[in-house]
Amino acid sequence: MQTADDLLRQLGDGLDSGEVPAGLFGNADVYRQELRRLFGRCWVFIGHESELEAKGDYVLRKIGEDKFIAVRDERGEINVLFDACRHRGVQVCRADSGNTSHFRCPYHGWIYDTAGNLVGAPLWRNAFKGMDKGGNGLARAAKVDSYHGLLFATLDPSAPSLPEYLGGMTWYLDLLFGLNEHGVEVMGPPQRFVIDANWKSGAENFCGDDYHLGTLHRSVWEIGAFPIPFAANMMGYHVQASPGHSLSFSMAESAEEPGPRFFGFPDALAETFDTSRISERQLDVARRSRVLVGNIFPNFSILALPMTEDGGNHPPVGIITIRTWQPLGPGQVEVWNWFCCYKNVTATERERAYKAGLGTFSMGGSFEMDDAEPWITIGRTGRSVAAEATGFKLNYQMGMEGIGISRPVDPDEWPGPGIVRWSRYEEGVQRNLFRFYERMMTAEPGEWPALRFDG
Amino acid sequence: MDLELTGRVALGGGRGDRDEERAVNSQDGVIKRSEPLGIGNEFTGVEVRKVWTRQGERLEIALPKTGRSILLDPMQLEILIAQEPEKFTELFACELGSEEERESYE
Repeated sequence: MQTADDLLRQLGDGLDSGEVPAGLFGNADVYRQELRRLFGRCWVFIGHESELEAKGDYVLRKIGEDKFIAVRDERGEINVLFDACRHRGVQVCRADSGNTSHFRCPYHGWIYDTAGNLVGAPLWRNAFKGMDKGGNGLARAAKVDSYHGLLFATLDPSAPSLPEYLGGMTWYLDLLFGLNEHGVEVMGPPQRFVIDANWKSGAENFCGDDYHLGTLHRSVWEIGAFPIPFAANMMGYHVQASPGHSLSFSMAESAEEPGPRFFGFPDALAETFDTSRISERQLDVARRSRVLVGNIFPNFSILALPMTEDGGNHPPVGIITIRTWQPLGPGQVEVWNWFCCYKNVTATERERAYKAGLGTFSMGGSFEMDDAEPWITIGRTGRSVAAEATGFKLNYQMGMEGIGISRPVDPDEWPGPGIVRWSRYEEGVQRNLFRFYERMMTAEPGEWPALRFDG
Repeated sequence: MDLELTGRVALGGGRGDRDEERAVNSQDGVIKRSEPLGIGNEFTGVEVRKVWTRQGERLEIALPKTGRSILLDPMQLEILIAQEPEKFTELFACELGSEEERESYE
């Protein structure tokens, strides 16, 4: 039986040649190590701060397979607390979300405040008088931080700060989430749906697998869901923002092209975009962007683009979906999907964007249903005896030296950070994910791979 | 705070003459009750309603799972508003008997 070490060695040896062993998408040993070495260490997306506006608001989220309570306490601080009572490890919160000032364990009735401190337990004097409460609060994530309202946590005390971890990705998050002083908020609770696929299929797709649109999603053009022809949409930039984090822009070479601009957001909204929070160069990139799709390592993805669920009656409009590829095992992923909008849109614009998002990138959406089918079979291939017996490698060679039309972009052609290539016929963005993946999976505890390309 | 615990099960409406008559006959002197509002989360749930006495009004908060309820007048509500959140944590600790260890918070 192949071990994780075998597969990681194959990955390390093959990646520069564009080879990724298929077993990574199904091997149970690999999956167990991912939980500890990736999800137990990396900054993982928890939710959006707009989900926790009021004191006492809480949501139940996962880091790897483990449940955490994200809660705004009575002082207004956000805590990310391990959902396990100190007494017997019983799950304290069972609802997906709610508002409370205290948590009460259902087993013996231990009570905690929303900062995670133990307050007491029934018949305290008989049971625990003299015991220190101090070390008996709920366990918490080692670090919690947010960027443009995107809330992340890490379980690793040795983790770098969130801005350091995001690296070059902050520049790109700015130009989607920082376009005006208002910023974005989520529209409702996240949609959740389970696919019998490996979580990495979603993550690597959102690094910039634009190439699949012409085959798998061809029908969406036939119903007018997306306004840019396939060939034109393949024009744009592939960006390895920093090790592990990749994204892709659909963008014409000429700044004079007719658009859509600003991801297809309504004109009236775009008129409020300014440089109050971002630079003129970031604003320019956003103005020229038709589509932005990206993944923050390991499993948090972002997509902004013009969409409509009903091309016959509604023109496409800019939508933002943010999502996690929540691992449920080597062969199963739960997609958590939030739609966001700028806080200063009108009620009509908000509803239009929500419906366009639901009709395309959601569990019943035209795009999303397409993607589930091939991803399921990638997992099946990854688990197969045949893949192991034949040493089956997947091809990630598009855009490598001498392959295809992709070319490097000079720094004076592109104002943002990272390794940038022109045209989206390119899989360096996925190789960037797998390179950092290999380094995290083989790093010693407390050791961190380089977070900058020049580092 | 000297809060009155009525010990009355606060279930059912209080509309109409028959209900009013029944309410007057109760021990708390309440002659009319508004429709209840439920305030709940996964840990507990209470019913809140406005009630009228012969001469004034109070806020009734009832805990159906125990049958306990409390009638708060505007003066009590005013001082309730003045409390810091930690006061309620302290009240929980007092109820549990764990308040002596409260200095070890954080």
